[in-house]
Amino acid sequence: MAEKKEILKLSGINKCFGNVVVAKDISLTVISNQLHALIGPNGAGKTTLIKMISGELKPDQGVVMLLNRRVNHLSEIARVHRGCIRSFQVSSIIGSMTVFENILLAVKQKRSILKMLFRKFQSNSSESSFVYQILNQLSLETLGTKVASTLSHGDKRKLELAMALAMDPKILLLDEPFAGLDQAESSKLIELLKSIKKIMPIFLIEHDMQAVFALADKISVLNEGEIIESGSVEKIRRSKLVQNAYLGGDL
Amino acid sequence: MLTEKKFNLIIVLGIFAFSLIGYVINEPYFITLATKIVILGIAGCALNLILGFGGMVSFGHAMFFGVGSYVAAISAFHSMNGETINLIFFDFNGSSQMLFNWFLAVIFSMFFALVVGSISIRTSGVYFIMITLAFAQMTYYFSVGWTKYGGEDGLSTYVRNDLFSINTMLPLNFFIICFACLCVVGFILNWVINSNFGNFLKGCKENEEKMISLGLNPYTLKLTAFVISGAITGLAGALYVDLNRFVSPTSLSWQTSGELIVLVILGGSARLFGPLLGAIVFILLEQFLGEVTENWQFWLGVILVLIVLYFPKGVSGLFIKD
Repeated sequence: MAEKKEILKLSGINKCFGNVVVAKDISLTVISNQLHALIGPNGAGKTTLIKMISGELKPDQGVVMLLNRRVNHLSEIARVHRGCIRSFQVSSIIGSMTVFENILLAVKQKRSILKMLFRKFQSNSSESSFVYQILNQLSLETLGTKVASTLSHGDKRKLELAMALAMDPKILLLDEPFAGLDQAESSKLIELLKSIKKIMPIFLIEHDMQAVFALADKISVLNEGEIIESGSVEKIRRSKLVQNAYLGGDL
Repeated sequence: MLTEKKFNLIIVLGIFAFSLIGYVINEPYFITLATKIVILGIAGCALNLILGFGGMVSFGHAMFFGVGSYVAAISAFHSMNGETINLIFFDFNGSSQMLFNWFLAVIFSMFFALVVGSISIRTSGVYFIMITLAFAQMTYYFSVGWTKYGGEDGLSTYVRNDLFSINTMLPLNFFIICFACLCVVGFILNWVINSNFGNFLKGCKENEEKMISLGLNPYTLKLTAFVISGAITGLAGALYVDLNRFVSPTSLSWQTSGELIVLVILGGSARLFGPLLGAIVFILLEQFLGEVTENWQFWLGVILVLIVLYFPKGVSGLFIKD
């Protein structure tokens, strides 16, 4: 059994937009090889929280720790360089490029401006085998030469995930990856995330309860900016507090 | 339909052939027209790097064109009248060497692009258009008031600068010099567009947020593109001074900025040599419509509207296969 390391730790996070409290004393920890899911009704502050982890927003109070380092002062870009990789709620890909090129962008991102200027946008053999390895992993291998904007919704979601994986994350922040997927696509993605979570910790925001219950090692429930319950799948299923606030009845 | 490579080759050879025909039938005016096309084409292609590939609509590119022009003209002017410019560390006597004046023009327009870009790129959309326009107007009014160098009347340099031992006053010779510049610029821009940098720049145009999540700073990417574009536009400005042996504040005016945008839209943005075709169409329309009617610009307007409505990829979109 691998050593349990704290990859991401939030303590005492507070955030207000004017008078509206969107995060109230939030503390949570994501450890290695764990999928930590965050659920909650619309407007509970889930996306705001992911933005504070990724660095797009700064918390008013509290500490964000990434790999045992305080990262509050770091910009979004600096956090990406430390391995905190995020996927978006709405598929965010470069529509005019091919699937292969999209992933190649993610592979090539660590270069400095000068190196970027003097290198052609081409993959060497190790890069292209890496890209195909990722495409295979997500069963996108037949779509490599397809222009990204022509993909189906499900494949766009997969490509988004592929770009995140190509960046060799230390932790993966996924914002509703199941949104808009049909049953078949959902169950494929569940299998995929099951295999990914063995390699890297995942912090998942999701509405699809079936997916969350199938995947999560730990669930936190956010309601009106506050974590009202946190624990194993079973604990959340049984919690009366959660049922009243969010799930609306027995599960 | 052509591949883009063939299209580029045909356009470039076409311009060359046009000026050769002018030489053979002893019609130097043709050569001058071809030279003008080449110079405006260089400026248009440079603007296209940020407009077509970077999504930044600069309405102030005349500033870099004009700065390049003025720097080259002032250097040539001083070399001609022997008056030195007292800089703090040394005296500058001006230069009649093309290469040196190009170098000066490029350095100065790069510097301007760095300063203006570092402020304007913080904004986007219509604010970016307005702020670049505002900066360009500042330099325009400065040049109007700069009576030492002709103010509103402009500055004449009388002879062309020298390049090695070539007789630059011969139209064909000067055309070939400009044509060589076009080839070098085309090579550089092609390289930039197809580099990693160029592809991240295209990514920025489509989705800046995503580039941030890939760990890239869109600001640095866009500023670098802006500076490259400004530098090349400055070179075009310097060549334009040698062509006309004259520079005036018009080269810094917003009309010039507008014309450069027109070249890009006419020819087709997001294509390397689209604006070069734009320059061909523009100059020929100016020439031949101008002979038919004084109001040629009205018809240019009509053509522009039609192109924007029906051929959003510009005239080059009619020839190039996707």
